[in-house]
This record gives sequence, structure tokens and C-alpha cells, in this order.
Amino acid sequence: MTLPFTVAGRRLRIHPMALFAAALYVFPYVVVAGGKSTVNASEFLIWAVFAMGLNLLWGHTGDLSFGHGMFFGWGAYAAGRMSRRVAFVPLDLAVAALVAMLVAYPLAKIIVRRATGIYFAMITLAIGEMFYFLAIRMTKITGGENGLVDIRLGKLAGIDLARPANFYYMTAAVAFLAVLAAWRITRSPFGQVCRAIQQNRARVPFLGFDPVRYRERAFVYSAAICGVAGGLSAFLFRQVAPDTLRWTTTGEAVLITMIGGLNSFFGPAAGAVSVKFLEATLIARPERWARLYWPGVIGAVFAIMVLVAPGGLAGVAERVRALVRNRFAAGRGASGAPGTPVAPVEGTAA
Amino acid sequence: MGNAVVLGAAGGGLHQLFDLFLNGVILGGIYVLLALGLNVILGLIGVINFAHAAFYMLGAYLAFSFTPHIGFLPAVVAAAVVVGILGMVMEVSVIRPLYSRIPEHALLLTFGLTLVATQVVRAHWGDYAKPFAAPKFLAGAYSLGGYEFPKYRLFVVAVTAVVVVAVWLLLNKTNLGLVIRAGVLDAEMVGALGINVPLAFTLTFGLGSLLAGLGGAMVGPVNGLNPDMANSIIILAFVVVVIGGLGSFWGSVVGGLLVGVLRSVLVYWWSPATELVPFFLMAGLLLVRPRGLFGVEGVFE
Repeated sequence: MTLPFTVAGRRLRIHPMALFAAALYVFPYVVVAGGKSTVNASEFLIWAVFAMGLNLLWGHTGDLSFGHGMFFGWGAYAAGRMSRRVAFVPLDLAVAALVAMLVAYPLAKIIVRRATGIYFAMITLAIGEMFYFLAIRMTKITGGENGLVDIRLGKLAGIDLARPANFYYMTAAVAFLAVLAAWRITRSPFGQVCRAIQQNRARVPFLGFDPVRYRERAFVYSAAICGVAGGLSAFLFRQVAPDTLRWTTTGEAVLITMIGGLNSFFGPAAGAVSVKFLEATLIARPERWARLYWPGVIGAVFAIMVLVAPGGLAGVAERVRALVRNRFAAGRGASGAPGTPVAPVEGTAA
Repeated sequence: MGNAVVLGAAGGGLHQLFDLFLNGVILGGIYVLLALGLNVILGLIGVINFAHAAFYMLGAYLAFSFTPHIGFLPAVVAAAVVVGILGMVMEVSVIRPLYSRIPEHALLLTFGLTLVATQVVRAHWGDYAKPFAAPKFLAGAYSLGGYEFPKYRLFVVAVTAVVVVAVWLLLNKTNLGLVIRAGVLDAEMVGALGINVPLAFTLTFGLGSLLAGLGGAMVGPVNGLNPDMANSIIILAFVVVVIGGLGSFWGSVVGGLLVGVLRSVLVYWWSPATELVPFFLMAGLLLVRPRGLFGVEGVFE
């Protein structure tokens, strides 16, 4: 998939990942122009990676996990613990991804074969909560209720990561790599089978593929990306609270992914930025209700979206684009972009 | 929800164990009401109602607010009825349009509504835990053969038992129950026979919500009230439903009592494991019996 652009009459094709890289570069300027800080920009981006990781499973195979907070959380703990030994961010994040995958693999083996649909959501929710209570009990590793502190950021090739701008561009680089990995996965034959599973699980075995194996692999890949996002959040906040593992964290990621748009690659990132921006704006409002009760506002927005726009922001954008395209095509006769369906309009139809 | 009350007054050994067991049955009774409502809606309509715990919380707070005006028992009934009506309103207004979509959408919608409900409770009743004393006529305990039976706990057990039997009779021995069960198998065909299936579904939703409201209204004097009570119990309700089996009536009853007694005994014998054991039980059961204790073949498969 590439986007066609016309420059001086010639069609240019720009790879979406190149556009994504450009967006990552300008993003902090936009956030700061919107009245938030560079730290906020890093936070939004981390949630975008988390949501895209979740979407790699939910949006592609159709398995709604309500327990991905555990991978985010264990990724955060793993990176935090590792940074105390070796304060080298790339290594610590790799460990975060590895730990998330190690946690995810046996779970995938147990859960995926036995549960689908809302049963899958219930089981993952319960298992995630189990890991939350485990984290509280494993005081030596996690710091218990107090959480993990003393996370060392260190320097990266002589760059001081404690400066918000440097931290942001480090996060952006990691996000780019994680999203590139997700892009490659979804465009691979493996990703095609996953999509087929989402569309019609019963027919996939007829083609000779075992849906369980593909769903298990998608579960583990998605956990790895969520683990990296968790590791980044440990470095951003310099602490990990056990609440990171709670189902409420997963709930927020689910909400963000849905608002952004399932079935859309970059939709969840748009969802993360919109929801987190709204959240930060509400918290900063002078009105008491906005500061205290913002989760209710976001919950209401979410409920309305599920009801009227289940495709999320990406779905709305698609609808608007189709509408504009049809108007445009109708005005100019039948010379729209090739391959786009043109709605027959009275008087202009060929 | 690590605040199960352990009765300290009784002596050692057998008495202690008995108290823990009785305490577990009370706790279990509340779980039974909660899981039963969740499972009735899940098994019959195929919707997983995330807002179920929010209804439970609303039941508790409404009973708390009604009690000074109309007394404890009428307040419990009124709270349960109001929550039941709220459930029916929710079904008609926002759940019904989602029946034609995948079941996850109803789960997500009710999750959003739970966030709203939690904030409404915080805004209206405050952020902090509230004590809720049992009424005078239910305070104190009966003494029998050296064992203490706190009156309020007996009351919870009795109400739970009556409600479980009543719901079973309603679903299995009445025309409404017949319509609901037939509607699950083939709603279109039942509709073709001239029966109002959507109305039956609405009533089912109301019944499930009413059970949640009743459980919440009765839990106040045991555990007190706080705005996090929905968040902390919803997972346990799911665990009970999974342990008992999706769509299984007796599964919810046995699962609820099992988890209640286990938690209560563990609080005393091995407290760090209290929160974890229900999950391990669920995970272990999932390995050997993926459908739970009494799961029915073909539900959500």
C-alpha cells in the first residue's frame, strides 16, 4: 500500500512508513503548539505503540485480549530491573520484549486453543489480574505495592536521555522500529492468514492452515510490542507502579484502539494521541468536574463511538474520504482516481 | 477486595474453622447473586455485561441512600428494583442495536458505561469509603450449642437461597422461562410463533441486573461502600462464571460458594494467597475442563 501524490503532473508514491517517520519528527512540535509538553509527546507515543501492539492481535486475528496490561507491565518491570545492572536503553528494551514474550508464550499455549470471542476476553482479563496480584506479592522483584524505583536511564552514544527532547527522539526511534516490525508482520503471508482468521475462522483450516498456531504466534508478537511500550514507560516515568498491570490499564488500551479504529494499521496511534490529548486537556481544566471525573467523559465518548462508529476514527476518516471523493468525481464526470468506485449521479453517469 | 471480615471472638480450632466457613458462605452468597445475574444474561442473551459490577455498586449506594428514609429492608428491595429498571433501560436503548453485531461490541459498550457509572458514583457519593451499619433488628447473633450465628449473615444466606430457588423456578417452570430459553435457541422461530422475543430479552436483562443490585444492596453492611467496589469485584465475578461454566445455572451457584469459602478460609490460614487462589483454580480448571465445572457444550464455541 502506497499513497499516490501528484507533483507537477507526475504521480509520486510515498511509503506510509516514510510518512510515519515524518509524523514522528514533527509530532512534539504539534503537541507543544497544542499547549502540552514534550514529556506528554513521549507519553502519547508510548500509548500509541501499546495500542498498535494490541491491535496486532485484536485487529488482525479478531481475538480481543483484556489482559495485555500484563505484558506492558512486565515489560516495564523487566526494563526497570535490567537498567539497574546495565543502564543501556536498547538492551533493557530488548530484555523487556523478551520477558513479555516469555510470559506470553505459555499463556498463548493455554488460552488460545481453548477460548475465542468474549470467552477469550474474560479469560485474558482474569489472567491479567492474576499477574497483578503476583506482582504485588513478588516484593523482591517488583517492589510490591510501592512499585519499582531507581530506574537508571544512562546515556546513549553520549546523548543525555534525561532531557525531554532527547528522550522523545529516542522513543520515536524505538517506536519506528516497533511499528516497522508490526508493518512487516501484517504484510507477510503470516499476516494474511491472520486476517483470514479474523474474517472467517471456520474456513481457514480448509486452506490447510491451523488457526490456533497463527493466533498463538500473533499473541506472542503482540505481547512483545506491548512489552517494549511498557519498557519505554518505565524509562519515561522512572518508576513502575503495580497498577500498570491492572486490567484498568488494558481497558484504556482497548478503549484507545477501538476509538482509533480496529482493522486500520495507524488508527490505534491516532486513537492514542486523541484520547491522551483529551485526557491531558481535561486534567488541566480549571473546572472541578473535568479534573476529577475525566475518565467518565472518556468512557462516554467511547460508548458513543462503539454505538455509532464501530470503525473508530479511521472508519470515520474513510467515510469522509469516500464522500469527498464521490462529490469530487461527480463534479468532474467519471475521471476520478482509477479503481475508485464512483457513485452514479444523475446527469453525469456515462 | 481483601476486606473479608474474620470473626475474632470465637475460640480456637473447630469454632474458628466454623466461623471462617460461615463467613465464606456469606461472601459466596454475594458472589452467587452477582455471577448468577451475569451468567443469566450471558447464557440466555449472549451478552457479557461489563456494567454488571457497576449495577452491583449502584445497588449498594442506592440502598445506603434509601435506608434513612424508608428503613433497611424496603431500601434493599427498592435499590434492587431501581437497578433492575436501569438494566432494562440500558438494554432497550443501547444494547439492543448491538445484537446484530459481534458480541465483543456489547462488552466494549458496557465497559465504557462502567467508567461513566464509577465517576457518577464518585461525584454523587464521594471518593472515600463509607461505613454502612446493619439495621438493629439484624445486629447481634444467635447462639446455638456454643456456635455463634450473626443475624445479618444468616439473613444474607437466607435471601440468597430464596432468590436462587426463585430464579430457577422462573427460568424452568414458567412460560416466561420457556420463551427465554427457546428465544436463545432460535429467536426468529419463536418470534414467528407470535411471541414478543425482544420483550423477553429485556426482562431477562432486567432480572440479571436486579440480582446484581440485590447483591450490592446486601453487601454494604458486610464490607462497607467505596467507589472502587465495582472495579475490584468484576474480575472475581468473571472468574466465578468461568469456574462454574458459561451459561450454567448451578455452575454459578457452586462456583460462587466455592470461591467465597476458599477466600474466607485462606484469609486466615494463608493470607498472601487469598487474592491469587481463585485465579489459580480457574487456570487449573481451564487446563482439564475448559468449559468449567458445569459448562454446557456449544455455548460460545
